[in-house]
Amino acid sequence: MNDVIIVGSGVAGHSAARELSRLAPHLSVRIIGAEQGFPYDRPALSKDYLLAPNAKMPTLGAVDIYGENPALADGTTVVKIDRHRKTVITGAGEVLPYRKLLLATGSRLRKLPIVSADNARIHYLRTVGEAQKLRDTLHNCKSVAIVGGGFVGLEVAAAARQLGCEVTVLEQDGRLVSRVGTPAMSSRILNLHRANGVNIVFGASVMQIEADASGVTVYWAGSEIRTDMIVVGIGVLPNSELADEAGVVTDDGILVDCHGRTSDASIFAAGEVTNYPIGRLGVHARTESWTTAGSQAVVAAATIAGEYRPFHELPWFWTDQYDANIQCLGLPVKASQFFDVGGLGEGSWLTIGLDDDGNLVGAEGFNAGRYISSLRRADRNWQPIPHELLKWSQPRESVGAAVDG
Amino acid sequence: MTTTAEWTALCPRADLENGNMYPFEVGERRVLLCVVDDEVYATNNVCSHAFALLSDGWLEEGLVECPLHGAQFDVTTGAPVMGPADCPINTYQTRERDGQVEVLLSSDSTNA
Repeated sequence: MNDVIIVGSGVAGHSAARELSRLAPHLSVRIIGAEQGFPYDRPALSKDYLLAPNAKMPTLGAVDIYGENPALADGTTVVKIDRHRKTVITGAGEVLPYRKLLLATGSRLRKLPIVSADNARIHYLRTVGEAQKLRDTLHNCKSVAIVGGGFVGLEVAAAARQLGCEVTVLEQDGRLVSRVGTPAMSSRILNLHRANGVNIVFGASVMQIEADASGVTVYWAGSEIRTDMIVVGIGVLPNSELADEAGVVTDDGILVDCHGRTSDASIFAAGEVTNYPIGRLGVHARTESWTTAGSQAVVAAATIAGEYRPFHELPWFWTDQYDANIQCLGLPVKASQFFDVGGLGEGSWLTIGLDDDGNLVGAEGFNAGRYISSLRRADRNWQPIPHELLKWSQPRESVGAAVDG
Repeated sequence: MTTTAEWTALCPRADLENGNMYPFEVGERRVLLCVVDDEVYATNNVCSHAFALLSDGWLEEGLVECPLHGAQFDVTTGAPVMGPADCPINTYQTRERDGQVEVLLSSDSTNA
């Protein structure tokens, strides 16, 4: 009998295991991951890992909690939850009873609904294995088309440019990073990539891909491009089917409260698979953030150990492209008014998004980590927006359409 | 290999305020002084995760946070406590002599 079973060995599952081993070392915890080996640091895969031909697999801290031969290294998957018997059933047919179950199953890549005869030139990026393949191919190719102008696609675009490839990004929408960034962010990122020689095509809904021995051709309305390879980065879907099939309430992810509790008193969830209350904004959302996945999982683990600490942190994520550290806090696309913060120095940009009542909803910036951090701290400690930022701020005249996330 | 270590004076103790941090460059090396509960601690000023100066981030309750990716280190031990960093940052011994804060820097580790 395991006291706790954790399904998923990404940053959420690992952070929860780590917190449980700290708070409740007497509990027997089993972590079940679909990927072989120790948990690793996924954000690096689309950045530095692609650039250095011999970069090692990026590890996560404190994997010593699993001992030398971790149970998670077997790459087992869970195929079913029996809520009434409180067991999970693995792909190998094992039936494992639990007292508490934590679902940290994360998300999976959305795939293009296009089948191609030869897939060796078509890349996706999620796992370290996929990153390795992508890296090896990128280092030996001259041109690459990237389907999807979201953050992962753009990180690959930046890496490919730095390796000297000719890069074209095909985005079906009218702007980049449209799911999480405001139009102001989109245009900054567009300028950054154009300045670095990336060709960006908007309104390009890919209709067909043909790969052969010498290259790959991508077709969209009335146009086509021929390149050595393509990389598809069109977002993720939550791995919430296990919960859904077991009758745990889901709605674009597993619904949880600020303690990581689901609709079943013995089942908890954390990380990208969850649809959770965002900060104190009064909205639920599913977010894709390494930091949030980890800290939300720490809170869920504490709940399991009997310690209640509500999770009210705003989601925060960062990306590094060329020389820019780009950050996004909260849900800027939900803001109704924006303030641009001036006086931050060359190459830095920060905008703060507020609701109608002047409460912080989100922020986004380039090379402004220190100030975004000050907003995170203020929000965490129930403090108002730091005076120094407001002092330097200008309301933006035209707000631009607040865009749905 | 012999390692030599030398005490290097950085600044007057009176210039340092509790709760603040101060960056210094000593040759190739970047050193960060942090004052926590009126004690002065010295660490490397470069994050062990990616290149960034910790002095551009925040010091709060004895933890310094990197501005780029939020890695946090305990400045009294150098240990990573939160965020993406796996490795500790170097720490250096400090002492006060004639009102000056001095750190013990060894000659063989330029940036480690």
